[in-house]
Amino acid sequence: MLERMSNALIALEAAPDDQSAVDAIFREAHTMKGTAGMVGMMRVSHLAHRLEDLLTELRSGARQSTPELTDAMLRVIDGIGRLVAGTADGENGPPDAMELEDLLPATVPGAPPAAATGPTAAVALPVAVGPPVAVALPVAPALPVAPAPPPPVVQPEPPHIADAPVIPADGPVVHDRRRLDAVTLAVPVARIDELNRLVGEASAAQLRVGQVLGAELRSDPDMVSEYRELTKVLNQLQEVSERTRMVPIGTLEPILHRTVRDAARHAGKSVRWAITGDDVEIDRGVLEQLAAPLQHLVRNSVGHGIELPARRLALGKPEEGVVKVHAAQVGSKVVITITDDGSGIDVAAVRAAAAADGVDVSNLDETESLRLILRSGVSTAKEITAESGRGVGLDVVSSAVTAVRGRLEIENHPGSGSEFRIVVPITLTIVPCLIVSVGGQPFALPMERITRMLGPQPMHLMGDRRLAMIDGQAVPVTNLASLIGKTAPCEGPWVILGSAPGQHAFCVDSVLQKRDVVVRGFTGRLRDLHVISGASVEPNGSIVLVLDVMALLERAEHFVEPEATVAKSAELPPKAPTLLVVDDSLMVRELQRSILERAGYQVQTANDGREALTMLTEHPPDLVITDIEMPNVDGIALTANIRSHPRLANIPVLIVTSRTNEDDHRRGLDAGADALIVKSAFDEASLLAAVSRLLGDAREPDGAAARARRAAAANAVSPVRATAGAR
Amino acid sequence: MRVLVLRVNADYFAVPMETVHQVLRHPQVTEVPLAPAGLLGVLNVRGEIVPFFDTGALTGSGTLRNPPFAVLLSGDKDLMALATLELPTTAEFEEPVAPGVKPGELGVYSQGDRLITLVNIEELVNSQPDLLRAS
Repeated sequence: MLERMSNALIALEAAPDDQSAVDAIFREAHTMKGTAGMVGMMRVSHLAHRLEDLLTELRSGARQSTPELTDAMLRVIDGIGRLVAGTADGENGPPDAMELEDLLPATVPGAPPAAATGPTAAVALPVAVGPPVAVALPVAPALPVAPAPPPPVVQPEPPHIADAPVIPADGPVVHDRRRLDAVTLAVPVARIDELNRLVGEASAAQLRVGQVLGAELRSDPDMVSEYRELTKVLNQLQEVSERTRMVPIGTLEPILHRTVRDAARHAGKSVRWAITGDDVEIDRGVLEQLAAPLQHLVRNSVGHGIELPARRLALGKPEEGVVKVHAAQVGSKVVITITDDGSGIDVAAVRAAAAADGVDVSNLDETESLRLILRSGVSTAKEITAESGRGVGLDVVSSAVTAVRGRLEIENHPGSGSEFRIVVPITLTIVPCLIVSVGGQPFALPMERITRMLGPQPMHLMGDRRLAMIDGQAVPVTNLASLIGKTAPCEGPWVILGSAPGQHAFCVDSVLQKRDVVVRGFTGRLRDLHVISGASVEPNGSIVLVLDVMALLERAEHFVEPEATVAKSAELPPKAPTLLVVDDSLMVRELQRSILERAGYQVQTANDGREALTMLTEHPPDLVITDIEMPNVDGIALTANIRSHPRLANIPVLIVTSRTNEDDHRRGLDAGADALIVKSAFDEASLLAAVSRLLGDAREPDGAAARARRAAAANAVSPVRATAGAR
Repeated sequence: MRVLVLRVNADYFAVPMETVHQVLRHPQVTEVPLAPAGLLGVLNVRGEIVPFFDTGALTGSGTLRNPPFAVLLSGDKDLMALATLELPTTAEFEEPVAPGVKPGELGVYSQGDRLITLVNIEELVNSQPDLLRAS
């Protein structure tokens, strides 16, 4: 109710002659007066009555809407909210109702008082405040008051199913689409989370049914129409249940509009506000985290960006500045852009402020200089106001955006404005992760924190720290197993976390796969675990813990590895494995070569199976990656030849094929291939994960036994089928 | 009062039956790196991730290694699991033979030739913040 009153007041300020806005505010004030009186909140009821008086004067024309009147009424409405909630007003405890009333102008002499022109007003109860008295009150039936017990005044009213259309000055009738489409139901968030959890359980159970069909009944589950139907329905159910957490960005529109309005009034500036893409949906939890950062950014745009009216006119700009927010969905991300047409960011002033704060700015380029404004304490404001200027806002914005796994980008247009872009995931629940083995246990690392992956690199010991030169930067290296209290040598691939100059390399046992993970945050007793940010329940019922990358980086900064591990790891790493890539397509060969060499492998290539066999007998590689369809000797025949050759039989074989036919996949695995990737699902991380996994298994003392296990697993459920059933 | 009796090394403890959800045999425990001393790991219970506590560490009876049973209990706000070395048994408690000593201990009861301490699990867990603080 309070929010609707605020929004209507701001709308009235923009269109002072809009009687419908006055009527809307009057109705709200009237309802508040009656309801507050019913529950004994007499101060609130009285304040609502005073608001009614002013609104009656506006209706009758005895008073005109002015920005000063809007200021006063908004402050009173805010104060009513704090009175109802019993919250403090700054450092002084809950607001004083009389002080709030003093903010309002006295009634115009001779103006009609707030009369009961609409629904009959509730009769004020006796002063004694206590539980509502269940007596028959002379309340008109039209008042939305429950018979007993009456609800608190702040409880939201039932949603309107349809609003009157808003008729702009020069355009067609525009219905508020959000209101028309949103026949909503208020549901506790915990109930939605429970629903999502149960849907996840249903999907896991469905996968187990598939495994039983395959292993126990020797039946391909994808050939069973009922199973396919179950999979399809569960995928749809999962999609719908995930969307229950989504809310439109426009939910924040009223608060952002109010922020711009108040900031402009405070600064004596004239600012027009616009929002587009407000129907883009985002996870409720993400939006809640972004509310304060967005408020700060729009407030900054008004306070620091938009010039004073006289200055704007002198510059040839319109007197009224513009602050716009635009939201758009790009894949699995939402991009929220805040732009203004002000003066832009004075980069020279930013550099000077940072230098004064002790930052070495001598080697910073334009982009790096611009990002200095995100440092705490850096402010170019000539004066500190209640709104901004202390240099503590944008660093908090940056931290808040990072906390929801987003990033903040800045574009500067000196003289014509600035643009802040927040890019965040649509949902925090489903996170693309790299699954790695650390000390024998699988963990998930969120992909957005991973800079790259490498094979083992030469290291340098400096005191008790290990460093490696990567792309010209000295990057510290830590054994991730040691860091989290496990035991494992630092011999596997490296995962680089963080961004320069704060990058850090962590060695892991192996990279298992890359996939989306449904993350449950830890709450309650599990809330304060170090280095763990959540967990995922796998289809087979196991739990994969999600590592907190920021906590890992922080811990690694001061971590001293046990001496034995450091001494061993300081040796030069073993020679990088050699891979043979076999494909008749030059483009595919070179693409795979590029990916694998960047990851630290040595790569040979062959055009077809015949050439590959010649190379294999001369210089056996550590792993073969082959296509299926090739001239002369195809991939399946190549694989069969490798398996039948005594010297080559233990070399792992990975098939990368564009064929989606299940029979071809089966033939490849039956010929002895260890794994198979379909090119349509191919990406760098998947290839590297598969290579790392196969090389890790091949290095086991009993490599043949490991291959037999993998073959059995591949026969039970192929990667393609498992992926199809997972969602 | 109907209770469930848990063996924890050489000691016996009991919890009120109305707080007991389930007893799990050979639970699949996921270890948590850098976990506090009182936390053996986490369990998946029908999709919910539940902390699995070392009852021995919480009660001072000595830590438990690879406990074969987990008793799933309701705390005030969430589920938790307690480790025990044997399949728990039920009992009926009448009057205590001695009062409880530490926080979370509600009283000591006699059953045949053994003494069993009745505990309030929520209070017991909350009284050991050091054992539950991550290292």
